[in-house]
Amino acid sequence: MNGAFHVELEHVALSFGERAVFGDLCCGFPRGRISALLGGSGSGKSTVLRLIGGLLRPDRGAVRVDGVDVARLEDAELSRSRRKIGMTFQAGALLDAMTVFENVALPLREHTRMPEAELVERVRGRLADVGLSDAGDLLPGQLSGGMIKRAALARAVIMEPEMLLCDEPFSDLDPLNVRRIEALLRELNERLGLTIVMATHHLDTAFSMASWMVLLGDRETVSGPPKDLARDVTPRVVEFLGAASPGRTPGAHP
Amino acid sequence: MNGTPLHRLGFRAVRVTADLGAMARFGGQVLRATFRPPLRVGRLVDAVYDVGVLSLPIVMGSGLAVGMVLGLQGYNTLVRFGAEESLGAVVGLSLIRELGPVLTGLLVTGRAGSAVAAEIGAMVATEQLDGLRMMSIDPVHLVVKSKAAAMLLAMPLLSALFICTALLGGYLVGVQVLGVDGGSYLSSLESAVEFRADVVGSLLKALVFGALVGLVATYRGYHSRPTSAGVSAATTATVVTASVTILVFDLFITALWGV
Amino acid sequence: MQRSATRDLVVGLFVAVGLAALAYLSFQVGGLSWNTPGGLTLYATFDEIGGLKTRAPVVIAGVKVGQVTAIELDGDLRARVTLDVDPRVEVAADSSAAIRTSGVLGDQYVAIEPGAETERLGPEGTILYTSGAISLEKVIGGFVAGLDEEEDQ
Repeated sequence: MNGAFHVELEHVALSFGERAVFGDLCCGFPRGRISALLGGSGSGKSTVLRLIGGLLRPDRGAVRVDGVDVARLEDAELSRSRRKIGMTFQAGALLDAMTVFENVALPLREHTRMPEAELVERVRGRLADVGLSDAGDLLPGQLSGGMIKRAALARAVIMEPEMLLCDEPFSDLDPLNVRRIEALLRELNERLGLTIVMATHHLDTAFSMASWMVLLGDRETVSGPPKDLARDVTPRVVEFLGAASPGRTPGAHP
Repeated sequence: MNGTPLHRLGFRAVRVTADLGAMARFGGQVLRATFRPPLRVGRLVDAVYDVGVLSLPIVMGSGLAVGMVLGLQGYNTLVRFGAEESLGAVVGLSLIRELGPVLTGLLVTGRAGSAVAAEIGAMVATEQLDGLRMMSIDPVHLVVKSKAAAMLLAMPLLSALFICTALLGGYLVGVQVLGVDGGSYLSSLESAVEFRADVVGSLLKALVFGALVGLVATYRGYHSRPTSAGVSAATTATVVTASVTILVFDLFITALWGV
Repeated sequence: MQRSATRDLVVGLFVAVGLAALAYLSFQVGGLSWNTPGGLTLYATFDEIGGLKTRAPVVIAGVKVGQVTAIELDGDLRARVTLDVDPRVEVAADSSAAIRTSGVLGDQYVAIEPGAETERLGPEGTILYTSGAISLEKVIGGFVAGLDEEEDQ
């Protein structure tokens, strides 16, 4: 594996009780690019993201971020590793007792001594980037699904991380909001050179955005640029890609 | 679980012990987080509101009722010995030494303990705590410590309010209804109750119970399974565990202190 | 969970009222006193102290003037009680100390009966005339024994 990969999973095995999620997973995600992590429900997409974030430890194998195995890190070092990673969760995971503004401001308040005026400006800037300028004083319970995802995105990038992990960024969204999130992620990738790994089953968007794909499966994992996967004639791959968007050739623009 | 009943019993016993160990370790984590800055006073105030102020109605309502029952029962017993003028002492000592801290502990467990467990459990289920971890924010520090500390601080205050309301209840029944002399009620109360032997022990119990409920509720919520069934299980487990623990510790403290 | 000034006020009120309840129970009901009169140390030795405990009140003419701070056995195996008394009180050298019970079944305390001499006891002085606690069991025992004697006669 070469240094062009920001994250590398080497021979990772993980089971939850009796259920084996991975037997021998090897894959990587390139630096500075948008990667899509694909697979059926239960294939372990969220689990991979959690392994990268150090929220889970593998039974065997290594999870290398910038060459360092996060599975072996102790709390303080893990903390430092996480400062360079932003993560969004499927349901947003915003603290439901705090306003949108306070949620986005939280990492700044906790980790920096930024003066209040500067902090307010930074938070407002990010909220404006994601189109939530007017939602600062709302509670997460008052937001629509799309707004929650956008707020979560703002919070995940406020500390200017090097990598963004997105768990199902497009799920439960109407097409307009899907486009919005897609545009935001592209912009973050271009403007900040952010490595983005998104676990999704929104194949259209994945194919249009990603320059690298990892498809998880029971027995083997297929990785490569989208056009390689689109041309892959392995029955499993074809079935997965075909079943998700019947009658459409993946990679074709909508 | 298969195996003989003896197998199952052994298995259960090991699990309960491991559980206690895990709870103790969690308690250590919470304690360390409490003394690490920032203090998070704002969150503490919010937590004291949720645990203390919102428990006032049930605590004082129950206090009044319990006091009135004590007044009635106490009178019925004392009158057989012609000692009904000592009603204040009987009501006061029962409340201060036992009923105040124990009943307050149980009531607060049911009302606030379950609420705290459910709230934290819901945060686990909606990945809010994982979100915090990914932002390098310790969920124990941000969320848990204020709730546990609030429980510890609010319990003695609630217990004292329970006792005072109950004394009033006893007064209303004993003096206003049953004709015990008001002055005797108060003077027998004051001469029978000693600060060191009775009030300090009562305060100690309330603090210990507060710490126990705070620990159990936050532990169960924090380690609940991230599903709605998990949150529900955590809530009921909190009430059961905390209630039993309060009664057991009551025994220890009474035996060791009340000489 | 909104931070607001009203909520802070309510919590503050709750804490204040709770502390007031605690204070009531501690001082008024429990008898904790913050103005313990004291300063003058006196000693009194008794044959029998009964249930006297440290912190028991020391009383003159029914008024509390101090408390018992220590109880020890002296060389003659009698109980030497240390009293901490308000220094403004003048205790005559020939005063006597007795251990009494408040009420029939109450706690015991030390009562000092003033003497007639003009000379006062100074710090670390000893009250010479003492009468020990009356043990209820001995009194009843004596009474019963007396009855038995009468019967025998």
